[in-house]
Amino acid sequence: MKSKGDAQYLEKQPQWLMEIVPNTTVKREYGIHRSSQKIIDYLHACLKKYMEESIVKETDENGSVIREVFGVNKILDPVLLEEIIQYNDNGNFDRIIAAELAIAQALKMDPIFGRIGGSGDDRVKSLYSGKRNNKLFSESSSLFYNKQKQKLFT
Amino acid sequence: MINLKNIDYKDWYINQKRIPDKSSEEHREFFNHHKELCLNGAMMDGVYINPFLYWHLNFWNTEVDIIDERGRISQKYANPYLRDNEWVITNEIDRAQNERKGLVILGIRRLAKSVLESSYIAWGATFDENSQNVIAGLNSPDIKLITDKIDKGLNFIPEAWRWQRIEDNWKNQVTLGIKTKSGERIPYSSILIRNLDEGNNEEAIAGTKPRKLIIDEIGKGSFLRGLQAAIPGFTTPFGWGCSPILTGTGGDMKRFMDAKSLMFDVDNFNFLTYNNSKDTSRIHGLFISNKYRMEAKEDSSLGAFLNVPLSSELHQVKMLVSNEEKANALTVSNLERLKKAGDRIAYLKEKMYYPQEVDDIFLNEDTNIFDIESAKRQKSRLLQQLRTGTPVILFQDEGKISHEFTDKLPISNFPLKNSDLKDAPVVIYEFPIENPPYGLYVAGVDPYRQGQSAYSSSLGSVYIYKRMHSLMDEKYQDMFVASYCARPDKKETWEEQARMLINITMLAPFVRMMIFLL
Repeated sequence: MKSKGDAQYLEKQPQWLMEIVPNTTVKREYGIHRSSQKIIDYLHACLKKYMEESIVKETDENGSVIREVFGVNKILDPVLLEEIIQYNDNGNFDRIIAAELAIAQALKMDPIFGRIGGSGDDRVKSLYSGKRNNKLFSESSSLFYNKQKQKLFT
Repeated sequence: MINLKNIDYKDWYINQKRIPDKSSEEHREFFNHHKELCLNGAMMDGVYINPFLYWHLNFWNTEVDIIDERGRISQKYANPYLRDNEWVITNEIDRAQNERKGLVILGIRRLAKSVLESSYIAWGATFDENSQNVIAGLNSPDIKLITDKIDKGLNFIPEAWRWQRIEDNWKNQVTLGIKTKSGERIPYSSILIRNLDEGNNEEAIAGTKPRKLIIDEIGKGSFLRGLQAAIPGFTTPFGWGCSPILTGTGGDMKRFMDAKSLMFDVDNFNFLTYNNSKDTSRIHGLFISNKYRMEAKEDSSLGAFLNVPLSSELHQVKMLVSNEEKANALTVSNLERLKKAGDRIAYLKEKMYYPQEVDDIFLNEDTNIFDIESAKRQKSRLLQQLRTGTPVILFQDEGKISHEFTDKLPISNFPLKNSDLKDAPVVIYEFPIENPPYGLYVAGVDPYRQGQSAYSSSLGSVYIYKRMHSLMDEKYQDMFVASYCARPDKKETWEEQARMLINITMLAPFVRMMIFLL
């Protein structure tokens, strides 16, 4: 991708990689290398944490948990779930790798950038100031059914 | 169509109190009669007794568990018991032969796999003149377990059918036949032993012309290329002249990708198919579940098992039959106990050794750290609700990225099947918002190398993850909102789609955030 002129989209080799493998000699300009088992383990741990994080917890009057929803419910790709079910050290688990990389990057960004958007975020406010409606999301359903070919942004 | 002999239980070889004298004409007739039963089977009170089962129960020997006179559990070398395991498996082997198809059997520990395999190879070598009977495995110790059984078992079949060993190398080839007094060797049949070496020796079976073929413990390595190399050897103008029998055991699935491909794509491989007991839209190979576990067997009879009237002679045939309720209760109780003990590995082992679902066979305690059960539940929920995203093709339209809906379907199988189209579309779960704020979307990318084989199962994958946008918002947050997993013919096509997918989520002037696996 770099050779095709896409470097502007690529994340530089992240600094947090040094926290996981402080003595690594692998220095690449962009992306993450998976030459160290520690990195692989870290990425797996990110996905595991994401899947097992409690996102909804309902308790009764005694404080006992009556319903709990975990992060795995946020995964909407059945084949990614199938890869997770079948994961082992030997196969090609391309979806898991790509998904883990995204989660790892998001986790590292959370403490730096905090919650993105919302009414209290000036950056978001500035983005939508002067617009007639301040909906943050486009309505994709109208995109789908009115015309055959659509611009992605309304 | 052969007219099968009708026999009574008292006619079975194991029930014969007297074997005719070797020099008599009666002796010849006696063994010819039983040979015919071993080759064609027989009818018993309207029920078909398949030939392999008749051979196995009457002429094969193995170590069987007994209670000795002091009440201790002991072993003796004798004819195998008839259990529902043997009934089911031998009938399916018979069906595979009649339909000229292969059979893959995956299931529990101690389902009598290696005893049946050794018996099957010996059956072929004993009666099929000029036949090559091939026993293949993924490693030497597994192969040896079977060859040792064949070696011993051949010595215990009736003398009338016992061949001499004119070549006796259990690592490569054993040839049965006759050695004349003048030293001449007249071969009758051979047993070939082939080690696929965990998949490294793909050509191990190539060049053979098997009449019987076993590939043992297929979960321990790659074997599909080895099987492919063997197929020309038994392909005839009339179909497969040999029904390959492939077996595997839960808990021994260290490298199971090939086993899983075959198990769930049996039809395309010309193997017998079975509907899943819980989800009839799924098909797979023969699955021997926890129901058949040894501890849940009860004394019964073939007549009771087949639910025929009490007057039937089949009630005289003793049989050990599974008590499904007992087997399930035992499995669940063992799992609960191990769960409480907090021993995750032991828990997974129990689940793999005595699988309740066909997918449990492929669990792997060594490497899978994820919560498999919750992933299974979520997958099932998505498929039931048909929430599988919107497939689109992205394209440049007057300098802007546009999309159109497509009939192309995302790849739905893992591992990838040979028949799967790899030119899959982008799948959108939530369309991107306009002008996303910095850091809203991140992408994880795992591309593939162009130089890799066109038949590689490796895909190029992109996942777009949307970080939290607003605490109060009900739209997707901290979730994957789009994915692209494909391997089109041209790498440029993949790169183009991936680039556009990344662009549409990150095109805001100050948003550049993705991660790229080099």
